[in-house]
Amino acid sequence: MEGINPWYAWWAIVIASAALTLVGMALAYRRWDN
Amino acid sequence: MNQFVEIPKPGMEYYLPVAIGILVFFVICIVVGMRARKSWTSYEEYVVGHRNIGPVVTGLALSASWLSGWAYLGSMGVTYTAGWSGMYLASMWSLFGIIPCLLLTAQKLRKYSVKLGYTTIPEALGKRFGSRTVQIVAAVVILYYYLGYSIGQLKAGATCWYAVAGLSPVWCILFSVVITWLYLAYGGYTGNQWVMALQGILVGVGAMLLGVVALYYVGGPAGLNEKLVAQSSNLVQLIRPDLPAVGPTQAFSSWVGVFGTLVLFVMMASGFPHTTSRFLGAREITKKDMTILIIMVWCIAGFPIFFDSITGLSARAVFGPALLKINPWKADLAGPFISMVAGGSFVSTLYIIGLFAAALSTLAALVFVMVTAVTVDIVKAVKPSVNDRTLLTLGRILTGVFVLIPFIFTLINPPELLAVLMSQVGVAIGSTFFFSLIMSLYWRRATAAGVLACMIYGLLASGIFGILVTKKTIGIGTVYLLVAAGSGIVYFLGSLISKPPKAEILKIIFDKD
Repeated sequence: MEGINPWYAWWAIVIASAALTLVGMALAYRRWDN
Repeated sequence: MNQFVEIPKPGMEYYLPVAIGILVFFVICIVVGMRARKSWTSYEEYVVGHRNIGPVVTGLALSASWLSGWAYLGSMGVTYTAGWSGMYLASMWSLFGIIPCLLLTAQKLRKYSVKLGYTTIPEALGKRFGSRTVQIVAAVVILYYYLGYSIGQLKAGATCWYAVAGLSPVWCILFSVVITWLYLAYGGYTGNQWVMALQGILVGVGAMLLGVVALYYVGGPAGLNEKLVAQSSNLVQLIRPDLPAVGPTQAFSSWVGVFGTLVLFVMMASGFPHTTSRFLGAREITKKDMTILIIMVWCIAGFPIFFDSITGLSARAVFGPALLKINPWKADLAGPFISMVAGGSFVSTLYIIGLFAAALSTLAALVFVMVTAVTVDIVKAVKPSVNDRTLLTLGRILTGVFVLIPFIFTLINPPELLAVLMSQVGVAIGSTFFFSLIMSLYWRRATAAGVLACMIYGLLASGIFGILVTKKTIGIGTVYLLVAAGSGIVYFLGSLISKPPKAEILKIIFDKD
């Protein structure tokens, strides 16, 4: 992993967290029971 | 010429604003917490409120209970010590646990709490499986884990107070536990939830502000990396194969270790009973409420916590490795010292208030769960005829005992390896309740036997593997994986080979009204 700017990995985790949030919301809201 | 900034000296310049800030913080906590003192008329209402708390307060309180002193001190110390490869253990995966916790748990746990009439997490398990044994064992397991977990909670506050004020932390920490006892004992669940919401705001503001100021101070993203490379190219590596692959350093030195930290955070953030308890007193959670909850969590446990790693790295860029030589706090001084040199007295004051908010909110949540584990899940479960007044008196005494234990251990035996101590217990608590509680909200075939086996496995595995890590026989990331995976296997297998649950219980829980 030498040579990779660690900021990219930091941003990747931030963006993955956002993606998980949005996908999770989309899936959960389809089956919301109230 | 020395390329590093001189380590700041504590003094009146920092002490006075911090002392005033902490005092104001304590006063606000007590005023907010005590406002709830007449809001309950029974012990049940004391334990869970009126189940009418909105998503803003619930989301802020959830974030505050999740973020402990670790988020403010330990996380920064990890990246200060290891460089960028420390970010995985420095809470970067928080949202990978909290978001599933919200989406999988919040609505169902709250809904069933009304339907089945439970007020605590062990009671939720007891009612889910129609087993008082499960309830009592869960309460005992929680007591065991949380007594250990709470011991380290005040250390962060003590360290930071000493670093900034230069004075003994005894009075400040004693004062903070007395305040916590007061609003817990008299404000109950509702008072605690309100105080935690307030503390959540302070946690978010403090961490975010410090992160941005520290990054600016070192010259932005590029400046940070340049200064780190000038010390050692290892500090900008995504993993550190130069560090031992066994023991605590595995979390930075191999991808197995990194994956282990991801699993650790998923288990802890979604399984901790003191965080999931935040949903028990919430109002019915609609889609709109859930969206607000998620926004609150992102504002407190998202953006500000992503900056934890950066704050620790900035401290390394500014001070070099010098802090590692200052015993006994070492890298834990990264946060307090960078707040002093990069932000002056204003930022260091906000930072230390945020730290106390983070530490005390987690401690209060842990203590309240321990108190109700004894009163509701052991005393009342064994002797249902016990009256509310007796439970309340017992609860208030126990609250005092449970806040004093970490206070005493902070003074006589400060646990130096805060990170190791907390994560060892953390993965066991998280894994146990991730499967026992959350999976059982969905999996009908789960049984009391499976849940009991999962709890016993967690106790044994965390103890045995914990010792092996200390002896550097295996890596800490491997332990996270073994505890989590083993808990799941034991839970599923234990359930499948035991007698299926009674249909009438499943009907009450899972069938639509």
